[in-house]
Amino acid sequence: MTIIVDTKPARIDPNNVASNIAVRSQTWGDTAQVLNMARGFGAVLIAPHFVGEVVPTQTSNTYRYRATPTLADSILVWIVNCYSAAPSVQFTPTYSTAVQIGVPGTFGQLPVYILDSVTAQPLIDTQYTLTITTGSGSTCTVQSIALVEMPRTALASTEGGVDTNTLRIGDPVYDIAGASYTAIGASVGGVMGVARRVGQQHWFRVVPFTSTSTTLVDTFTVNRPVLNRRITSTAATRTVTVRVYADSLVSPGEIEVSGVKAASTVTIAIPVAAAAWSAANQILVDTEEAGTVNGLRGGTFDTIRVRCRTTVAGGTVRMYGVSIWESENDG
Amino acid sequence: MSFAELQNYIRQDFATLTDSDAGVDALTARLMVNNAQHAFDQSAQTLCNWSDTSLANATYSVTTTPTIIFLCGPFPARLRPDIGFYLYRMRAHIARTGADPVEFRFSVGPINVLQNHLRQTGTLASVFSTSVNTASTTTVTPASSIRQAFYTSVPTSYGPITTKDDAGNIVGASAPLMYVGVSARSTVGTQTARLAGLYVAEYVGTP
Repeated sequence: MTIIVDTKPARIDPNNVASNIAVRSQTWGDTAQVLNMARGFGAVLIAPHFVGEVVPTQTSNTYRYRATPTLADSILVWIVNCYSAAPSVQFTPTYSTAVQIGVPGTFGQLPVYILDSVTAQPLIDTQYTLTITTGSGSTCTVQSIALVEMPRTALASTEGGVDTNTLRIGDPVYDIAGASYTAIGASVGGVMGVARRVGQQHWFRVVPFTSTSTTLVDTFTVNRPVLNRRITSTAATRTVTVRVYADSLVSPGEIEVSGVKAASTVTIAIPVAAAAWSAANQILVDTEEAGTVNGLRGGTFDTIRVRCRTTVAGGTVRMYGVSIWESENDG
Repeated sequence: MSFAELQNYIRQDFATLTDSDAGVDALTARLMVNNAQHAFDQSAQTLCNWSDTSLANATYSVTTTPTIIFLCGPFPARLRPDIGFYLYRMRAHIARTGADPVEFRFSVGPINVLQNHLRQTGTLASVFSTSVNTASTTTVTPASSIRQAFYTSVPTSYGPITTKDDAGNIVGASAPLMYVGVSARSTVGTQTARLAGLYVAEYVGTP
């Protein structure tokens, strides 16, 4: 079986599929190619966010994120904008061993890349960590962090693609596993369910945002844009999954996450315990709107607002991170 | 918005397609093609997303020579079936802390083109530039034609990547790669530019 992942999609004329004429092998082949690319091209799991944090000398800072991968077997690339007076800094990605990498001395240079090979990871909500360790000589200023799945060259037979080797112009569509229209139908379902769970916005700092107020306080002074993909014709809103990494001191706290335009809010209880990820919550946000030059629904961005509070005076809520990505199977 | 005939996903009962010995009617086949195209249209990615005016270390000392203050990528770029890039929707939060205006330039493109364009001055089709003359953060976004602002040619964008094949072997390959970059320059002397937020997302755009 050969499931090639191309780098540019075929253009398919729907008028080639009509009553009283056979569906051409090329039409099925082009459809399979488009699906294989959508399935195997990878995703930006963590969109770059500004960290703005200095890792002190002889210190390890661990940055934590959550995302749902689209590929079980892949090369993950951490893209880190950082600079240091030291010639190199140590990075420890999620799956691979630590590596010592040379870093720029000033801002505005090319990022540092840390390749992380993963095999057979389940396509479920997963924690990804990157630890940055400095030596005794210098600090390291971390500007931004991102995580990207590299596109695969080909998919295995178990990964939901369509066998393109059996689809040839002039040949009938083979009635075998992974090749017929049965496989194309299954692949459409797989792509819609898995390959569009892309990252929307992430944020993590080792030095947390803290609040001692009993009224809600904005974590970010400006709300962050968000737009989900449009799936069905009527879906003006769709859900994103939200998890926060936080803890509370003395008394429990709360973190409220809202889709501002869609007017959808979830309040997450933060217990007095060691910092941990909250359970997954979902809120509604706008989807892109067809026919507009920039896809904005009603001409304006939807935004995510994050606020914190402690429930009892004297307490402190500490928010280290938030990860938000498109939910699956809600189209 | 879409290269799919119906511009959205049509629910299909895939359980009816499990008998590959059965014929498939034209409507079912056409919807499958539509759904495949729409699924790809909607595979666009968010390439940058942060905004917070209180961020530390988000200020940069710049002179009248354009200086790259932020550069991130590569991101494997989605190409449209007409072999153009997806459009790039962006928004930024910028400010200056000195007395005189600071000009910011934003671009998405292959690394060589991007760096060259960010370091130039004057009007460039592939760059969105704007000046800011307030200490409080201003939200800016390109007006209407995002494609024109960021369009770059496809052949120059292909670059090497390390990835895996169907057997899990680590292999080299080539893919269209995009970087996101921001530069800033002062109009007078040395100023401090502040980049407090940046959002860039792919969008399939209007064919």
